[in-house]
Amino acid sequence: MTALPTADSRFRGNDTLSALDHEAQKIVAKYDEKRAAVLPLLHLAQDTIGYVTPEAMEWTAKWSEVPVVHVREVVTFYSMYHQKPVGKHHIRFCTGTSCVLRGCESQLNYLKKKLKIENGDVTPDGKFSLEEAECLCNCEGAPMMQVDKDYHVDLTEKKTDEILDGLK
Amino acid sequence: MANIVIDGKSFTVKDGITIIEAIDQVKSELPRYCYHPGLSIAGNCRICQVEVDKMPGTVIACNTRVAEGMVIHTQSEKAKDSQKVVLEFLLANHPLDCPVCDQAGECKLQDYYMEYGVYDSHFDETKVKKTKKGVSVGPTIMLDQERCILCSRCVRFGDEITKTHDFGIFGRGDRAKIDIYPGKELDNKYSGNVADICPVGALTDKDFRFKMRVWYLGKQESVCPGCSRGCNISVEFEKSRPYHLKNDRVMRLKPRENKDVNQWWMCDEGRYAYKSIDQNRIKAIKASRMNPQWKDTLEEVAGILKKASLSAWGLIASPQNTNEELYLTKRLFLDTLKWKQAAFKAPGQDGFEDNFLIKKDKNPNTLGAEKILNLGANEDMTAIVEKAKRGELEGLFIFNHDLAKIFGAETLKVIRQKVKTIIYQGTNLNPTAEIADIVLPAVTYAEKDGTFTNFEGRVQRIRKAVEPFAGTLPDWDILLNLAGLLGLTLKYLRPEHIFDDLAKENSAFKEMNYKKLGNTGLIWSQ
Repeated sequence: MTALPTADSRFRGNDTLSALDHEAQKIVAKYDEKRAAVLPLLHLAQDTIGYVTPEAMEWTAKWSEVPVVHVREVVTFYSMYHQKPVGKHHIRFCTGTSCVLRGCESQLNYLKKKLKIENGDVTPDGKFSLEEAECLCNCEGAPMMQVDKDYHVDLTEKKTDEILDGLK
Repeated sequence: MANIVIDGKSFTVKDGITIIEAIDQVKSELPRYCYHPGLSIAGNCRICQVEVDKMPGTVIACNTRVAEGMVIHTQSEKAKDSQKVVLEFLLANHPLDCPVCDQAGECKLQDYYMEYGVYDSHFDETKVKKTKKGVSVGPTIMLDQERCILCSRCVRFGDEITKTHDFGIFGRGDRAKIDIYPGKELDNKYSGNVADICPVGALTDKDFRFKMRVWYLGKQESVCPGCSRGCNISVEFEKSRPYHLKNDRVMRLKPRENKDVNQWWMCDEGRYAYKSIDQNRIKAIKASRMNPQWKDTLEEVAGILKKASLSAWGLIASPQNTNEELYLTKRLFLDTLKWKQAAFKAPGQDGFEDNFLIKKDKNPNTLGAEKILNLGANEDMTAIVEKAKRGELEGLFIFNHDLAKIFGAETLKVIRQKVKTIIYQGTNLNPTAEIADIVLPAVTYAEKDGTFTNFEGRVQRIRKAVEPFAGTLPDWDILLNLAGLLGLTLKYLRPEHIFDDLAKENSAFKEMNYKKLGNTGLIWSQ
């Protein structure tokens, strides 16, 4: 049995989670059924810690009263929950059909070369992480990528440079 | 009630049941993976496709309710086509490793492929490989992720039956896989059931896997003797390969459906207790002469019993014995020999109990013994044992109980010193059998016919699955022979005849007979 990577206890451990208890209470109160709070609780934990730790799953299970094994089902089902640390800026690069047709492959390769990482990796300085994503529903702007919460469309090598170099 | 038509035949079924329930009730056939009558409806395997007149396409029978006038086709071209297409999808990422899979022979993928599939694969793509193959997930179960078709029966079993929430489906799409939570184990008192309900070879039973191909197994309907619940089981034994595993005859126990007793389940304690049928058995008679045979041993016992004084002998009967055997025990020792000291209950032997199947009384027939022997306040054996310790008894006739286990080795030692003659009749070796003067080797529940009465007064049949070992006899047969030698002529050929007399004499068993007991048993009339 391989155990999940555990959170760095210095600043990502249970103390962080118990500090969220008050907010969790408010989230749970919004729904008729506690289990409906699983997704927002996981988002809250991820936004705070950076990714969904096993402790965060336990914490979500406690508040939503959903068995932790089923919380993990949810975490592994949705690609927007991360089970390991991501970079300060998380890039989701679209590899959907339209993007492939508009030549995303060369753009993706350029990005990989620029950051010196592969799909699923984090740069050594922790600034960027890359995830090849299925269609992000912005086909009119293909090829495109999502950096944190922003969409960047009609990518060229120049544009990619500008976007990434402009980030702190 | 709703009038429906299934494959051209008219039936009247209860309103609101699902099509698959109706099909099962009228004993028709339909493939299924995720549907299990004991679990909630998942509707995810999609194999149970049927055609319903006036409904577009085909529908799944497990999640469609019957309605008045519904005309259902399970064998039409449209229905069979749908079933076939679904099967092809289910097999898309299946490794087809049947030759090395322990489920082969009782695998629903294999069975349905032969019945509903038989296509040439359209699949040119590389199969998605799951990572865990032959991985232990707990003390009883092995997991093989790539054979799994994600029917979620094991997930629902953990959520709904044991409430231990063991399994989950992680990931999604063709990468979704069944597993337990990282770092945890599948370790509950009913874990073996997940191997039963897994329709494919994804979850297999560690105890049984690779012991024997299932087509070599014989099956006999019986009742688990592990506690007073009396779960209905099927004893599965080696039928046609006597050279394969020399001394192990019984290979496994499987639960058998009985909605009133155990539904579809059984506990692990009962499931894996079958080994005492073949191991550690008493196979040789012990008596005063060398190389004793049944005839001269029983004559010796009869001689001893004839001379025994009523007040100086104690009988310790067994709630492990069948109703029939207890009835003969009563006729012989209480009615004929008129012994004054008799008991059957062992003190302090209660075990684990839960509010599902497991009962704390680990005997299958305590209630039968109570009702048949009718000893009232004297049923506890402590008084007899105390007397034996004080040297007030000349002899003891003990069925099955191990006094060392109940009262401690020291007590047994004292009894051995103080009691002149100890006769032991039982199935398995133990310290009490070792110190007895005469040992009569009896057979286990898997080697004889009879009935047990469970904790709620349900009388259920056990049936002979395997032949007794050479040199052993069923308790009822031993008792019949002894009775004959003691002048009590009883003309019974089979336990069934004994039961008929018991039913005549004891009002609890009134009007019962083997035929009426059937496969699921009957509850006492009072």
